[in-house]
Amino acid sequence: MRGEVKIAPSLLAADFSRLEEEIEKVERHVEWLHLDVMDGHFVPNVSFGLPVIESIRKVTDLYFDCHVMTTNPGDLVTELAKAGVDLISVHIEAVPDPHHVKEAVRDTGRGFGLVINPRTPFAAIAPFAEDCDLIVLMSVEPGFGGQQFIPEVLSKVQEAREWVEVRGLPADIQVDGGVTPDNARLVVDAGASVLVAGSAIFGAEDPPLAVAELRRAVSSE
Amino acid sequence: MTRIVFFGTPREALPALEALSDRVTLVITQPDRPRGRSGTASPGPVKQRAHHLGLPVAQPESGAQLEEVIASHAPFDLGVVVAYGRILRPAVLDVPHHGVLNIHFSLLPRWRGAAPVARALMAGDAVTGVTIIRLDEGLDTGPVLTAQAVDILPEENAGDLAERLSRIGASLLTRALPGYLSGDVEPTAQSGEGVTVAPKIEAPERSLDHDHDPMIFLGRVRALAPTPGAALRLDGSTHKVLEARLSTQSAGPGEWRAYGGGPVVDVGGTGVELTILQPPGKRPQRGEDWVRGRHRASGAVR
Repeated sequence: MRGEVKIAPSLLAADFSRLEEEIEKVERHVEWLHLDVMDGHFVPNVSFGLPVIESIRKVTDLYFDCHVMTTNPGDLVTELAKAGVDLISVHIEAVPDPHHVKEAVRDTGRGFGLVINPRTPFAAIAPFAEDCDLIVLMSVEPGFGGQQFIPEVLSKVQEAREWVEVRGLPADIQVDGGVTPDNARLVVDAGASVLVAGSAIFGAEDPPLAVAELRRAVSSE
Repeated sequence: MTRIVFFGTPREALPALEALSDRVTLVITQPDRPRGRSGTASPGPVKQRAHHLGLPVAQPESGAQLEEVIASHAPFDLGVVVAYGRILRPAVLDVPHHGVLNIHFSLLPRWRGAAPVARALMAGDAVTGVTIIRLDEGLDTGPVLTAQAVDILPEENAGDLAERLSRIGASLLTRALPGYLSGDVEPTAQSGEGVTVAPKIEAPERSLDHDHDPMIFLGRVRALAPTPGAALRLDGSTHKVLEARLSTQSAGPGEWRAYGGGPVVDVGGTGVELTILQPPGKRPQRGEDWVRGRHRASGAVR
C-alpha cells in the first residue's frame, strides 16, 4: 500500500556533547532526523536552537524534520529555513489560525506539518490538513523524551490515515513519542508512515542495531 | 456517546459538520431554495454533505415545525449552529442537556447579527475572528466558550474570509468541546464594551454609485464578493463589481477609461480599476475582457 516506513530518530535523545558522532551512527540507516525545538514556554523545557541546527546541517545531508514547540512558531520560520531544516511542523494548540505560518513556510520552499497533542482530536487539524505535507500525532505530552506511548492515540492514527486515503492526499502521517520495537508494528498498522523514536534509538547501546530492530518490527513479515 | 443536532445551511457550515459528523444524529437545514441560473429548487451545501455522510436531514419550514422536529428528536446532548439562517427560540435552546453552541464569525461582541463577515470587511477591520458562544435568547449575546482573533488578509473577499473562518471555527470547536461537555470549562459572559451589530446587507447598501472614498468603495466590493456582489452602473446597465484595486491611472468623474487592463473609474479623485465584473445576465469576466467587448477605451459610469 504505502511506501517504506520512514524512521526519524529524535536528536533530543542524543548525547549533545558529541552530536556529530551521534548523527554519524544513524545517518546511513534512517531517512529523516527529527529536531525538537522548544522555548520553555509552550512546553516546560528548552532544547536547542538555530546555532545547533546550523552546525549539524554541515555534517549531514539527512532530511531535517523540525518539530517546533514554541508559542510563536511563525517568528522562527525564516531562520529555521536558513539554518537548513527541510520541513517545519507546528502545533495547532499554538497557532489556532495556521494560515500565516503555513504561508511563511511555503515561502521558504520547505515542507509544512501540523501537530496535535495526545488530547487534541484529529478534527482540530482536519480543516487545514489538505495543505499539509506532514500530519503529526503526538503519542506523549510534548516537552520531554523518554515517556511512555499513549495507546489511545492509535485510533487517531487510523482516523488520520482514513482521512488522508479518502482524499487521495500524499501527506505523511508521523507518530511522535514513546515508539519502540514493541509498539511500532501497531503504530504502522494503524496508518503511520513516519516513526519518531528518541530514546529507543539514541538511548540504545547500539543505535544502528536499534534502528534495525525497529525496522524489523514494522516490516511486513 | 454524545448526541449532537447540527443546524447549518451554507458552505461555511461544512467544516464544523465534517468535524462533528461521527456524533451528529440529526442535521437541520433550511428548505431547498431556487439556486443558480435555472431557478429550480436544489439542496444547499449542508444538505448535500449530510447525505454524503449518511446523516438524517430535517428541513422545517417554520419555527413551529422546527420545535416539533426538536421535540421528537429529544433527548440529545447538544445543538451546534453554524449559519443556519433562523433564530432559535427557548423551546429549541432548552431541549439539549448542554444547550446550543454557535460558531459566530467575528470577535464578539463586535458584529452581532447575520452578516459579521461582510460588515467587518465593509468597515475596513484589520482583524476579526471566530467566537464560540452558548446561545441565549438574545441576538448573539450568549456567553463565550472560546474565541480566536484572525487577521483579515489584504486581498481577501467575504467568501475567502468566511471559508477561512469556518475552518478555524471547526477546529476551535472540536478542541473546546471536551472541556465544555465535561463541565470543566464554563462559558463566560461577553464584554459589554465594543458592541456593534451586523444586520444583513440590504439592497441599497450594495450600490457603489455614491462612494467617494476609495477605501470604502474597495471594502464594499470585497464585503459583497462573490455574492451578492457590489453594484455599479456602467454604460447604462447595472454591473456587479466582484474585484477591484487602486490604480495609478485615473478617469474623469462619471466616466470609465481603459489603459490595457480593466476599466478605471474615478472614486473621489482616485483611480480604481475594476478587475472582475459581471454584466447583467452574464458570467463574471475579467475587467480587460469586458473592455475588449466594448470595443472602445472609455464610457460612462451611470
